[in-house]
Amino acid sequence: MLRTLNYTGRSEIKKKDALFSFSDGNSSNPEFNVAFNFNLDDYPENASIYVEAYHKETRQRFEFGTIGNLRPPSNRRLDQLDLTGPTLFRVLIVDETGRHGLLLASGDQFRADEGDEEERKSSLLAIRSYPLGQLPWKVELTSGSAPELLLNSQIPGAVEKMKSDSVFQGLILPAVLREILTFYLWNDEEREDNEHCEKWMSFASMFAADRPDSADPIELLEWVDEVVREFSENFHFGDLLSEAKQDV
Amino acid sequence: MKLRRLNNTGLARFEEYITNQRGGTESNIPYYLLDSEEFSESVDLIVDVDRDRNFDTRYQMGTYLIELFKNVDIQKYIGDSGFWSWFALLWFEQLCPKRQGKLSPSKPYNYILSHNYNHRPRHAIYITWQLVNRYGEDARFMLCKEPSTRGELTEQLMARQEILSSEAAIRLASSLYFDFEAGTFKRGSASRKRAGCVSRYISWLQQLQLTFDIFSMTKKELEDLLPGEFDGFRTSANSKVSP
Repeated sequence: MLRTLNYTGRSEIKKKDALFSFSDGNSSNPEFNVAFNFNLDDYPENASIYVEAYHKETRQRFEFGTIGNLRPPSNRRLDQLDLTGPTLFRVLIVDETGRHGLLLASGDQFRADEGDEEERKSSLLAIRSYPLGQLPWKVELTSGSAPELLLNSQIPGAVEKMKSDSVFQGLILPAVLREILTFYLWNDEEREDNEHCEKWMSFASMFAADRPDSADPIELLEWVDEVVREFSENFHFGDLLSEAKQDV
Repeated sequence: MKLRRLNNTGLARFEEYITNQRGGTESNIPYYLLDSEEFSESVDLIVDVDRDRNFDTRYQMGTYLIELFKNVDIQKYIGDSGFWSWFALLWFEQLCPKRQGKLSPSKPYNYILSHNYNHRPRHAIYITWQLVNRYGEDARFMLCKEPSTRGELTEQLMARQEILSSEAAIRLASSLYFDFEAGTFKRGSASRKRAGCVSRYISWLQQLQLTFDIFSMTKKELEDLLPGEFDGFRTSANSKVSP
């Protein structure tokens, strides 16, 4: 398994230390705001603060002045980014007194609270219709974003069926749960300070004993098996599929 | 012809064509999707695209796209699969490798812009536009082959998403690995083992990012930190490096 090492003493900016939001407005290019809550005394006055907005390989950087003289840029519109997916933010504090910019602190995968926060927080899995050729469905697992279930757009009303049709749910959801848990368990970096991972692990813990404190793949797979089995049991997927077949 | 974007049905039909072609079932390139109301839709940009234009390299393709978009704002189409995949279909014959005279497409995500971050950098048009738009001439070292040739160097560099947007990293890579006289990248650049090759460059950048903010560095500042193993490429600015 991968490990993250930090030999440089660089500190981490936590989610609570930089709160992002979007301004109200009808512009096609959203404008973000950020409130920094970290302790300014922890860093030299002349250290620079940068904020980067990013989505996949697109990135836009904003200079926020220095620790001693915080100056948010007047233009904080995201006009160079791919806006087809969720925008994430990164914060960096950089010592530029030397020849090269030394990273003093950084934090990434910040999100702006948007829309119905309660709904966003309670939604574990976004479902989207998407052209997938002959593939019926797939799980989109992007670093820093919530997992998404893509359903083949050739299937009429696929998203609605996923929410209400027990055949769809019974055939797809157990496999989706297995894939997502396996992804998080097999990627150490994805688990670190990742709210999505925490939500899924918390969800899984409703159906099985605590996750084994072990890196042994056999033990982890047995735990995933147990979660998926109990999840299916809880929602009676077998019975629902059996009844659905009799209806046909 | 007027620029449009493929809708979801058009994308699915295009992917089906590529998949069939890869499986050995030959059929005509579905150009009809490009202006069909059923499979594509208009965009809010007034742009005429030359469908018959031939490109010697992907870099030429990129410069044509930059010229095409110079007076319009395409920000909302960045990352739009239907938009970039429409171009890939338009010039599919140029982008598609041929085997024994027959079109032999690479995997669909080379032509249909994927939502998967691992596959997006493979898109023949989107990434070409991104690179030339950001780096102009310094993108040539990644795009100097004919349009049907996937860029080995590009794919290695783009495997780390953040490198694409580091100006210093790309401009330094250009000066290290591109032979401007020959118009191609230096021999040994794409090797996976040789000292100073692109894959080593990527490893070095990843290590550097743990300590430094490489995005605020200039090319010169980054070059100053370059270890000795890259000297073979650094000292041969205008000549090919022997393997």
